[in-house]
Amino acid sequence: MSSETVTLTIDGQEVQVPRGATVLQACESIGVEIPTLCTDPRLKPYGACRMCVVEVQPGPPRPTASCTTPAGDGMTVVTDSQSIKDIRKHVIELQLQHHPLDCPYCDQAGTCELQDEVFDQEIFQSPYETVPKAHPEEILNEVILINHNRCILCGRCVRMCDEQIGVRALDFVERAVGTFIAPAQHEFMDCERCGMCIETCPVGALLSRPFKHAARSWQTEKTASTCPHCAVGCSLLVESRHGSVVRTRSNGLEEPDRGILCAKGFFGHSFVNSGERITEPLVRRNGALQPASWSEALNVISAGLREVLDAHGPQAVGVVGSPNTTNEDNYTLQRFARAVLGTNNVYSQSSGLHAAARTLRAVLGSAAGPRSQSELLESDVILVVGADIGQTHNVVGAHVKQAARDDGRTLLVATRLASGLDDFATVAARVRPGAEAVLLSALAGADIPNMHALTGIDADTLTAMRSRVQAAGTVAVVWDTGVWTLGKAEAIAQGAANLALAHDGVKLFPLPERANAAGTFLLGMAPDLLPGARPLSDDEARRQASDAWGAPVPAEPGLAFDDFIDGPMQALYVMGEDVVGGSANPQGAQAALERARLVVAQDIFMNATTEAADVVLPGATFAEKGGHFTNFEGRLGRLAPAIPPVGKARPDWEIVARVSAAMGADFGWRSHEPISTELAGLMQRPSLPGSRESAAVNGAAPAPADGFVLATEQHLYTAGVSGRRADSLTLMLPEAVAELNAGDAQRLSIAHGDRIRLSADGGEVNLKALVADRVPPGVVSLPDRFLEAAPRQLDPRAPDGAAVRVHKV
Amino acid sequence: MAIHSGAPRRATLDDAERPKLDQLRQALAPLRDEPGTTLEALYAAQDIFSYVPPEAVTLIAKELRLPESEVFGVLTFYSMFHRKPAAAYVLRVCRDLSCHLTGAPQVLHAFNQALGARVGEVTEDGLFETESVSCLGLCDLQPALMVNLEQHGPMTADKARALLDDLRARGAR
Repeated sequence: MSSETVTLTIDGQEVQVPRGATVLQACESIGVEIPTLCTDPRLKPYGACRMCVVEVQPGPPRPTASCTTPAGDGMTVVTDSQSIKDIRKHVIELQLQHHPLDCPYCDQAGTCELQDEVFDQEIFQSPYETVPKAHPEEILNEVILINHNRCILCGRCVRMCDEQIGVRALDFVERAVGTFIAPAQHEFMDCERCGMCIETCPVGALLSRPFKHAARSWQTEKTASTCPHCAVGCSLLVESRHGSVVRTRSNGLEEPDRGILCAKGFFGHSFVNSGERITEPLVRRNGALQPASWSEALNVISAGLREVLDAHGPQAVGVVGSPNTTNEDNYTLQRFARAVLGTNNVYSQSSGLHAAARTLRAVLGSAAGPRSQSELLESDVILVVGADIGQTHNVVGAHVKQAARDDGRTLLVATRLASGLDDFATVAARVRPGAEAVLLSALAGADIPNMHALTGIDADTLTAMRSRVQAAGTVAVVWDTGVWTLGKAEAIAQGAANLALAHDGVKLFPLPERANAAGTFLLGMAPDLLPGARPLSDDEARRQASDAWGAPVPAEPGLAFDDFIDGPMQALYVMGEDVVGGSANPQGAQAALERARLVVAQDIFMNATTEAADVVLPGATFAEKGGHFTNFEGRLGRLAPAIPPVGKARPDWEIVARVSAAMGADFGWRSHEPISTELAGLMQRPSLPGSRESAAVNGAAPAPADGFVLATEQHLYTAGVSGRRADSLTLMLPEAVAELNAGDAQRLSIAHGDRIRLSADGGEVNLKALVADRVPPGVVSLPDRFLEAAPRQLDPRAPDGAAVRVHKV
Repeated sequence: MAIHSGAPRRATLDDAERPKLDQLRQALAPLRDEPGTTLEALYAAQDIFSYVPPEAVTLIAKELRLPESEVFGVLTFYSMFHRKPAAAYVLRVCRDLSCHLTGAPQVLHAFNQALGARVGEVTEDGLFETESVSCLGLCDLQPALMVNLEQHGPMTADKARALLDDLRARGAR
């Protein structure tokens, strides 16, 4: 019994497999092919389709489903007897009673598992009369439809949604021959639009509406790449045809996604081929941006930069990189700035992740991370604080649910909004927006008076959380560093660090807000850092960079961004970032850009920064270039070009390298590979001591009783600028909304869909109200699309936790 | 907590019926922490409304912390649950072998004649509806029937007519 392996005989061949393996796995291990329909490696064995039947001795005298039968010592398995072949053929014949052979216009044709079986079983005509089902096609929501005639009731969609996503929006309804797959009450209310039901469907029953009749599966070019929408960095299979991306799918079962995607990964690609893309260089002539050739644009830029350098010196020049672009893009921009322009005014978005990472390094030193997702999911206790990571980092959220349900991890949830994580949690509580850092310090043991009023969490719940944290060997503390943390990212990181100092087993997982935010930090896209996030003050790091770049790196750190644009700035080069629209003071930033002698903005869509620029350059999306993103774990996700860049667009690294060449410094790169190699050589991680000092964290005062507290977390269906140009995502969340609790809405006579006005000291915003169960009483949630709401005077960056008033318009 | 939950759905209950949801909520309270109580919950809803309205499915899922799809799946699987308003007294006459041989067709015929309605039709007064169902597990009472959850049998045509009089005397619930 104690043996780790079992030995059995399959079709006369002896095979050894680990104890616990199924007969099906044993067959696969020696290359014996067993047909299956209800099997998906992501799902638990189910035994629905009966295609995998085999004869097993000793055992009952009947065919046995190999997928649900554990391999046993001394078993004799026969997989290819005539009776087994007959059963398999009959299973398929019965399926064809409902399943039409409409393969010529079925999207699944070519990748259909039933089609393959019909072929393999040599069924040239259905022996039974085909009886179509009453409701052949049902539109489930904006992006998903189901064709009931094609459905073979294998249950993969039901199980995928349940086991992997933790949502279970679908189930079998009715019974016997009338059984079909449907959401509750035929309203797909619980669906998170991840598309994984479509992904796992072996036939053309569950279908993507955006992909419907877009291409035959064998006509598309398939390119392995990485999702550009968040810092999980899921593997993506990009399918393209005639220079357009037609769909994206999950690619493989490896980390970090383990074979699943979210709504953004599966449906969020169409921005690539948006008609609003910038497709050619634009140069400002007579006050207006006008199309120009690449050579003209490069001449204007190099002459302008040369002029500013000569007149004002390198301190007057700065560059801004982007967490939306690759490591290679950012690295090229950095090298251009430090080694060619001679300035350390190197920036990337004012970022929650940068702020959190700096705080954690200062306190914990090199122990700050980043750490792998496996470490997160294998911790005894997983504590999620702040934003709902099921929205901001959906795939990690799904994995956390699984770890709690299947692997016995204790999940503690202290989010501001209710979420799907609550159902899997041992303790779930609502923390008041603004009190997240206080809560973390309290869990670390700090004695903070008035805890309940500050955090909204009662003493018993807090004690329950604290005792579970203290008793655990390892604790993963997970928080999103997105838009809601701006202005308090340091405090939250300090709170988390306090917890790590109080308990040796605590590991911290700040989840960056954008695909490559971690990459921009580790690359040193900051005035005082160098590649590897080594301090600029580190002489050795500076020497190594100087050697690699063949030019000295100035020792003097650059200015803080706001000091730079309000101070010496005469020229600014922005790559993939909206420094005006994303600023706390957009008018001020715009004025600063207008004062500058030269502003170059390189991007995929027009924004407030490109509108203020002197030269606009067409950058490339993730689907049009090679390179890497660095995800929240510090793992590199590879991008590969699936389509050529649209119009005259070019990869961002290439544009910067051409500007550099025009200024006399040709890096000699003709592809991204040498950049990947060069930057890897400079990425040694610094050894940092850290202060190891716990610091006090002050709580925010509760909002007035008659008002609301604002929560501004990223929504599952939003993905910044690109998300707003992805048709399928905009269908899911068409406009800016404010979400209110049903009780609050009723009290203010606000109905679902009414227009409301939110006003705060920082201004006001007018948008549509949604009644949402996830919002607790007294909180109004502004998913990040409120940035588009009109009129908008509310500070777009840091209203989270602010007191606001709500009025019906 | 699904991200779309809370948004209003098509209301199916009228103002007179809505307060019954509170009644259902109370009935669900003792079932809340017991696993495997979905059927009991659905019966409770049917008892209160005469059928299981969509609002009840949503409420049961919420109160029992179950996926709504699962509650709907269970509701639709079992034929004894009504999804449209049902008669006050649903007469389920067994049609399987042993009941059939001992006179079930005559019992059903007697009901339909007396009520002037066919199987599945609700009488104009809203009191009665007959169903022809598979085995009720009451073979000792053959031919057997159930009035809502109440067992009757062995039945005859005369007993059937007497039962209708008896139920009329009880009146609507």
